[in-house]
Amino acid sequence: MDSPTTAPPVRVLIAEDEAHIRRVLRAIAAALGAQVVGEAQDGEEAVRLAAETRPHIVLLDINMPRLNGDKALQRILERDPAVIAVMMTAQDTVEAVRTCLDSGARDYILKSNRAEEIFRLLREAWPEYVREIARRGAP
Amino acid sequence: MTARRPATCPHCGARLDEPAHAADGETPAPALVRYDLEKMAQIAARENAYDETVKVRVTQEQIRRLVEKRRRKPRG
Repeated sequence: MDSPTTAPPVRVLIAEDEAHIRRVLRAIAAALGAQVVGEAQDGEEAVRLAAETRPHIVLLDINMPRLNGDKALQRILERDPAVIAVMMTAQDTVEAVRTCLDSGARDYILKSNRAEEIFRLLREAWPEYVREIARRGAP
Repeated sequence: MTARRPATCPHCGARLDEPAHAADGETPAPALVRYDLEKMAQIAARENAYDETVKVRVTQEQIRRLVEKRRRKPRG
């Protein structure tokens, strides 16, 4: 049986250019018992921090300066395909969703949802993410 | 001095003494013009279905179903 008390915390990287959304995501990650290992304000920084901090999960915005989240997603997964990428974006077109899922995003959450709804969606998906991390044997 | 009223409609060419143009103000468009507009709307709607610039928006629930469907699909 899994022992949640002995499992190391899930490491999360937040990539979001808007400070108040980063704050919300930080609070959600903390409520889920995750450890925020980095916060990027643009796509380039997200790629760099993903390489440096080796997160299990990346919460990734799409519309970001310097490098868009969908491009950052590809570069992060090229380097480490075990990363669980959850897109957190206002982009609600089917094309954007398909592009990200095709690139390997694990989930796609609309920022237009209320913070409580975003929390609920992540809380529901979290056990599956944790199982996936354990299955992959990610450090 | 008032301007002289033309005998035919400058838009559709219909005679202005026909019922559709008889009164000032809210004049109903002739059937031919109505038909053209409806047809144009139908064509536009049909062409939009193939126009890649048309953005199809999705809800969170639709995204959830799409993600689920893809996860059920075996890889390879």
